[in-house]
Amino acid sequence: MGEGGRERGREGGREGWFQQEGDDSLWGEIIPYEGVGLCWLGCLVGHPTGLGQGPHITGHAWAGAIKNHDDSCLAYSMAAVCDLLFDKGVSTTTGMIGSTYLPGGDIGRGSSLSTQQQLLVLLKKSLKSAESLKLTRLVAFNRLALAKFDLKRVKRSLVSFGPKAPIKLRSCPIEVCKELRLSSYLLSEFGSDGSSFLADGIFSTAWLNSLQKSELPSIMSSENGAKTNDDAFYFAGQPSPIPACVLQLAGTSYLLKCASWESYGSSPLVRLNALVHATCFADAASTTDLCQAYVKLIQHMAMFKGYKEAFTALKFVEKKFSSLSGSRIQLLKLQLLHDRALHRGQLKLAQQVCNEFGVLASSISGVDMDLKAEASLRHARTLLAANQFSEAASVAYSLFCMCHKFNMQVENASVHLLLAEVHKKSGNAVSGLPYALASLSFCQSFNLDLLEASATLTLAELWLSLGAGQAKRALMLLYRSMPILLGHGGLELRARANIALAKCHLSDSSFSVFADPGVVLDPLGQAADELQILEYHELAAEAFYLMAMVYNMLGRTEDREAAAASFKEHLTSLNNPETSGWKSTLTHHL
Amino acid sequence: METDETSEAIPFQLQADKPIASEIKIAEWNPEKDLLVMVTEDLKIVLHRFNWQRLWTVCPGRGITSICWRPDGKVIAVGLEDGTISLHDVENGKMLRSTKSHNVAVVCLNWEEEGQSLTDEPGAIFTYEDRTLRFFPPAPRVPQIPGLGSGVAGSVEEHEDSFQELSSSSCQRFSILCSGDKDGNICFSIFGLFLIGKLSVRELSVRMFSQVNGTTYRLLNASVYKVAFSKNLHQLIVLCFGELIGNVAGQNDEPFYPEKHDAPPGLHCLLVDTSIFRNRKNELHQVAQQASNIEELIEVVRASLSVMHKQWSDAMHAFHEKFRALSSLIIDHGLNSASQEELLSLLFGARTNPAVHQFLVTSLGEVGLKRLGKVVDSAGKELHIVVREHLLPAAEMIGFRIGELKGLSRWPARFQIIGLDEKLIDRATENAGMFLVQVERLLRILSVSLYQFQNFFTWLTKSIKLLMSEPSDQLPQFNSELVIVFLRTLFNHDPLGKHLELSSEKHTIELDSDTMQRMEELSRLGGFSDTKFLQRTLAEEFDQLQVSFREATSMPFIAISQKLHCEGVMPLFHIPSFQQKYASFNSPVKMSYYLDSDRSDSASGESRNDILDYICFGIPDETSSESRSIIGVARGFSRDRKSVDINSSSVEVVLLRVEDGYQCVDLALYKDYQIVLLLNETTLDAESPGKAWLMIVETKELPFVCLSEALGNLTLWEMCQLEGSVVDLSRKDGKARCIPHLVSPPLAVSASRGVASVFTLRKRALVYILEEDEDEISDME
Repeated sequence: MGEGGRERGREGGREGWFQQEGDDSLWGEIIPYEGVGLCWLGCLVGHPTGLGQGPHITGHAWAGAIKNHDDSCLAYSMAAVCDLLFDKGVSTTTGMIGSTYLPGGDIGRGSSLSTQQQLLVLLKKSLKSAESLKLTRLVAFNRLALAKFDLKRVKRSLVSFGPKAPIKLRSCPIEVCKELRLSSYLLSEFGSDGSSFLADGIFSTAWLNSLQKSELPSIMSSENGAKTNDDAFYFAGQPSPIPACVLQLAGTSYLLKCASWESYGSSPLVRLNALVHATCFADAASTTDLCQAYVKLIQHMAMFKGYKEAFTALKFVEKKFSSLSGSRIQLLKLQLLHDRALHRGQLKLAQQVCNEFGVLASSISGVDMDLKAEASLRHARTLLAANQFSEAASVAYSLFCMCHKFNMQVENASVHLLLAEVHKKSGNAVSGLPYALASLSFCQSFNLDLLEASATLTLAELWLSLGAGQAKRALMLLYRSMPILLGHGGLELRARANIALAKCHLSDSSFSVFADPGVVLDPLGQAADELQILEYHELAAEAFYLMAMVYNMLGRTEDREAAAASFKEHLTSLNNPETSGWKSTLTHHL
Repeated sequence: METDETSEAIPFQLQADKPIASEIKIAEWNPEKDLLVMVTEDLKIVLHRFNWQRLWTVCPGRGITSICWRPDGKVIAVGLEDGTISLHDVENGKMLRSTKSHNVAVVCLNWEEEGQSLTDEPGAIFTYEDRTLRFFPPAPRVPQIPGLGSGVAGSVEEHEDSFQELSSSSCQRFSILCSGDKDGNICFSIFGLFLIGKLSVRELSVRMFSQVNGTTYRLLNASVYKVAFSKNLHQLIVLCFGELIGNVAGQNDEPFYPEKHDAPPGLHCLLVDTSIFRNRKNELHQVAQQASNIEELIEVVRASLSVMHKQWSDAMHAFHEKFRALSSLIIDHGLNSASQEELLSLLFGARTNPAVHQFLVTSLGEVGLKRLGKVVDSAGKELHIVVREHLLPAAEMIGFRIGELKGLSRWPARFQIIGLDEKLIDRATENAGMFLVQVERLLRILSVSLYQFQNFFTWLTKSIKLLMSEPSDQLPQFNSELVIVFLRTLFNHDPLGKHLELSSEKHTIELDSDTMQRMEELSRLGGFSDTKFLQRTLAEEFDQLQVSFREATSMPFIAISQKLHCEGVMPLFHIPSFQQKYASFNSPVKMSYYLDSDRSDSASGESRNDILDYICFGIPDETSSESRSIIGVARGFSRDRKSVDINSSSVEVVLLRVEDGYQCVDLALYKDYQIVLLLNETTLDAESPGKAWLMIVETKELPFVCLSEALGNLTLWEMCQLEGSVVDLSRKDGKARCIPHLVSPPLAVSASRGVASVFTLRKRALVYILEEDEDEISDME
């Protein structure tokens, strides 16, 4: 279910990167340029309302910077513009680049570059001047933005002509990786831009806090023999000369890494990077960032350990971030509820949650394209679960149109996969094939390995449903993507892969169950276990059905009866989702 | 000298005739290019081109006991006296990797890769991409110790390139390096990097090769002499010395040599079933690819830590050295307080102790302070660079690669059989994660410490100016709070050094309750279950990572080692008593595998019978160690024992007696079942310098004798003597060329390139072209 493609792009709250946390009056100190202050003001104005005055103010700052030959200000302005454009979606700000505010010479009016490309050029320019001016934080900020860009961008080589021109268009994960190795850069260079001087008294609050907890390493006391606790103060809220915004930027790089691995497909690294952030940057990170890290952890948990544990963890996090009006946690809750409802077959609940999603996606607080895409993806999936194939397909199609319009190529991969699933489920495997293949090629060019593996799995399932003659082909496809499916896929993906594997063997005429029953029974057993954790009744029933068949062939009647009983159980729960108490769940959670 | 060189009658064109500096012990041709690597008597490795241009010389400093090429010809494996195997780059001779998997001299090496036809095999669908190359920039290298060779940036670059080559391109095709030592241990390592199995033949119970249900023999005190893998890696022929004692558990209780219990040592041929390498090559390939790279990265981490430790402790030493003067000055002034208290009171402006005054103005001084500041600062910068360029990337990549291994371990149907254990890998994954957190913490501590030091030095500079009543307005500002913190913590403690110290000493890092609570929280959210890991130092965490990784990879090693076993033994000949000391035995023995053209068309293509092994060996005479007039050629030893067709599964053998007045110096197997012999004249008179002959013998026409089951307890040699099947060989039986000098071993022949190199007793090297095809010659350029 698109585990890899979920939730890219909402990484990291941006507020507070260039300012001391929670202290807006420090503006001038951190960004020592009047014009830039103006520019960031523009950014801030732009942020909550989306279509407000932001672009104009930023534009003014830009113009001022150019007039005054203020390079630093120009660099900051460029970054601000990029940030603004990136976050607000290109659609709403197309008018800005190339407007009178941006006399940016070669990237100005009349150029044939698309808006995104212009944005990229701008970003690179800003990075370059920031590097030459040694504006450490701006460099870091630009690198983060560039990484976000590269995550979703296919790199075209500059020499794209001639016989030896590379035809393969692929995104550049290595670039992303390099850009995101940020913390070591930031922490070694933060003093060099001269803005890190700390006036006396800046630590008084921290000291007082520590004193209250009476944990202060005997700084004030004078006994020498006491074992001084010289280790503790680096991690907690005790005096640290590293500006919080530097740490925040470094921490955000880990969140972005986490997001990048989500799409590239390495589940251990997703968890690991979220953990590094939550462990090392908890003291400095903004609540939004920290919340994001926790969300990633819970998502990981839901995928690998099932909903029960995930909901327990969610409850805990909700309490922790109760102060946060936190749409992010609310969103996560909806995601989990929706996934679980679909697995349990509680379609009404799923529909309800889906509607909630729709409300969130169409909120007035800015247009979040990712959220919008996710909402309609989930909508289509709900329809698919209800066997409303043509409706599902049409929702998916309109989603495709949207993605195409806004150049969201990465999302296209999951949309195509969804369409393939629709065709698969509607029993029209042949027309599903091209969609699965299209999805595959999207995945390949964007290095979405996990999604690619899951597209391959769908492809294999499609082939398999074309008849036993295709079993060999399906098996081959499966084998190729098995390491990723089993290693990085969540419970659902793994179970599906195992079931498909068993089915391939069973429909292969040259395969004999008697020779080695483990070849089919092991994967089936594993799939059944995992599906039971997920409460995915439909697939669990299938697994038990297949198991019962195999046991029957082997003449192991007792095992067969047990499997058949489980099969029946899951079928009953699938057909009567209301009995499993969804009403109480709904009222409880919403 | 060679007047008749152009004459058509003489085969083997002489290509080069050059003097050599010292005697050559071992020589091997590169399998892909016209390069000859040699080991000289004075322990050097020399690489020469076909035209005898020398490319490089390296000196490992220890006795070299064996050498072999990687099948693609880009790396040389060198076995050393102390059991080390080192890999050298063909481009420049630089050592790429060194591992010590043996305890005694590595006497033989054989590196074989899997056969060509990958795509036709059913395993092709398991081909596997190493995703790391797609997602990460090139792996970090071992950091250079600053000040050593930082000036030669070019060579470093070169080194990096070649190293990259080793770890990435070696993974293109599955290959195994097999090494045998004097104690009878045989080690197998995938890509020559990742040790995957070990087999000891020192004491072994084994059946006679031809007897399906026959008696069991015991091989005692065996040491390996030569090893040879079949092309498809499914079996290994081992030649070893040892005493072979009959029927340990057989029906016949009579010992083999009843009169004296210890049988005379002889050269025996063992067949080892290594089919696990062939059958599980995809799985092994994938695991080895990740694991060997992780090992590499762990080495990078270790080196980084030690470089950092050295740098930092040097700087700290300098700092404490300087400030020790202060405390002694304080004592001299009759005071009983600590340095930092006095400095604190200076900061607070209460009073200036004369000791502090003297220390700052006189003993330390502005210049001294500046210098000290620079020392600490540059050490810190170096540390930052090491973290940025080496430590952090390495930690990151270890995390990714272990994650990939974890993915593999989750496919028990394929990976359990080679011993990949999910639980152990999981533990290693956890440790890799904790290590990354620790590195991030180290970075933080490093930055804070450096800033603190800078701040402290700024304050001191300012204080000195004030004490000397000089203007101090131009100086940068300092934060006095941080000065207090510094004096209380870093002045006497070294939190950074603690993390870098790779020692067994335990440090527990105290954590505040906030951090502890956060760790508890995170573990409930799926974080590390070991919530107290932050109490460990970075170095300890690194130890844990290593241990857990080693545990995880030891499982495949054990699993594979258990699956290697000896299938049969064939005694070749006894060693004459005067030669029974291992060192003095130097009989030439060569082994090779040929595609069996006779069989492959009749048998079904999948049969593994279509590869035929040839073993050819010089048999030492009973009289003198130098003279060898009998050469044995055995074939078909490795044929399928279980084959139903008895006729096809027996060993065939022929013994050749060289012409009178000559003896065999060395021999080699060449292509198409040909043998290259190097013969020396034995009847020497004082005037003539002596001559030698290089000749090629076609073995196809030789009258091979099929050895029956009844071989029993006799060696091959005795058997053949009984049957009287010794063939006289004259120079007319093959192509031969006279060499106007006496020659010495080794004879190096390259079947793929069609060249042979011969070394004379008078320290000349001769290169001959064995192939007369014109196009073959033009290829060599």
